[in-house]
Amino acid sequence: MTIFITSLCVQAQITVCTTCTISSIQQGIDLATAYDTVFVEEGVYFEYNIAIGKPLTILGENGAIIDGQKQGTILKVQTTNATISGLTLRHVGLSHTEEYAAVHVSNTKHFTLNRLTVEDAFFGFLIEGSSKGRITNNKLSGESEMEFYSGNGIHAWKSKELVITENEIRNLRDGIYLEFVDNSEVVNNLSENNIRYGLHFMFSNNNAYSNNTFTKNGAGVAVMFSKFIEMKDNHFLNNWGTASFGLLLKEIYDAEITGNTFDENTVAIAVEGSSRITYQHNKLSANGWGVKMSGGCYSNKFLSNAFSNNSFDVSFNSRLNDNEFTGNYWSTYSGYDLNKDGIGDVPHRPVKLFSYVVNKTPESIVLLRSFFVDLINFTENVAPVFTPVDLIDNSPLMRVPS
Amino acid sequence: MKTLWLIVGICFLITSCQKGPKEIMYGHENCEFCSMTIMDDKHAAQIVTNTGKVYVYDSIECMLRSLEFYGENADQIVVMDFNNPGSYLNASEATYLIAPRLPSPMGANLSAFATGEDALNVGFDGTLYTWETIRKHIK
Repeated sequence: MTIFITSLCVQAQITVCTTCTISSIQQGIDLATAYDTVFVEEGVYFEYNIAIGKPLTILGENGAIIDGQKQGTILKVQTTNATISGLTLRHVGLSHTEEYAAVHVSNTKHFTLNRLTVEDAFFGFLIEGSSKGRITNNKLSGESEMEFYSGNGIHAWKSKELVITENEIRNLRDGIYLEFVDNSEVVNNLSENNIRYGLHFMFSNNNAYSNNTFTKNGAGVAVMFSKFIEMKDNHFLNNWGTASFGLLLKEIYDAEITGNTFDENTVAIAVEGSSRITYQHNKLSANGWGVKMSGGCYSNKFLSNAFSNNSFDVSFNSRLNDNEFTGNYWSTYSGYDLNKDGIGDVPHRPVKLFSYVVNKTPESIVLLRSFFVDLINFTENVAPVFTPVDLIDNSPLMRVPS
Repeated sequence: MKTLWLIVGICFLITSCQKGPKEIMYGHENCEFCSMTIMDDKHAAQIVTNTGKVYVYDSIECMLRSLEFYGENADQIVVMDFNNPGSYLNASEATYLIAPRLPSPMGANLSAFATGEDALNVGFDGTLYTWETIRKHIK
């Protein structure tokens, strides 16, 4: 009995190094028994399709590099309780039909990918049908020159309960892509210079992302066809381009968007057909459009947000409005506050008539600063004909809320 | 020299008047239906209307879903040949494959091929559709 217990408790370590008798990682894995640690010493290992079929910890020393020689997927996790940590993975294969990745996790539970560096990725981490995974402290980057020869950094499909934190993702297609992924968290990541989106949700419900920074991506974050997504304290910066935006919401419902910062994006928040969303305490500054709504958007609430120096704070494409704007700060507000309670005494109409013209005929944007446009905006403000009469903030703040 | 400019000018006039699918700027254009940036050169699709307006789609499923709005006025509908990225097939002549292991941008796992044989040879299990049947399947 004692022997049995000791054999359970003592986890053996197998060391792999380029000059050892065990000189390949696959060999090390094959020799290990379940719950062992395979320690990979410094050096370059030219291997791909490394299969991990039993619960193991694979731990890389500083400078341990696996080079896939562009042949295919490097590591394949096909077991529960696998931990991969400390390795550098480079030169993932490119393919037209196969989705090669640095690490491919399929149909498993309880996996950890930690402190990995992926260079020259096609896909970084590809996670399919798996749950309870932790993906933390990794650095992923690609060298994609051709748009369609780029994969996603962290790509999860039909998975749940993933925790994705403290990763840095650069130069890929989508930094993080979640399709049919539920109950997951994306926290404290940096996603920059990706060709398409920093973060992308598709058909994924009950997820939260917070404290992430999305900068200089094709566009910041796209949340599409999803419900119950919480978006908190993120930074959406510098997403410029004709088709670009900080945050795209397409057919999403029941979301909370709180405390985010949107600076210098062509469109800070582009909303299409999304309802029951609460926008609170967000700061939108120096964007082309603050909030650009189209399609049927109902029962949305905008409370205590700050709209500063945007060319258009809010644009709307319908004459009907079912959205509430209360207690926001508008830098374009020209009213006064005689009783000094910090709330403007006259209501503010955030939608300019000219934004309708620009929506119909984008080229007319060249007239933005003209006297004529100021005139029609003013006239519409005084006597609304085209803009929704009830799209109005009755208690505009005089100062940016802290 | 004058004639050269004349020829160049005429060429411009002719090309600008041609009605047909256009070159998609991958990574810079958004899908007409789902607003996603078009990145995938194996699944793109286009609808050219009678007036020559071109709508571009990131996936065949997005194009099918927008037939409701533009289908009536469609002059040409083209889908990308999965086996020859960059070359379009006439949508009504293509064979469609829905294969769960072959993902497409909007989740329908739908790709187009020149022939049924091509679709089978690609090596993913799935269901084949014609233009008529796929239109009923996704709309």
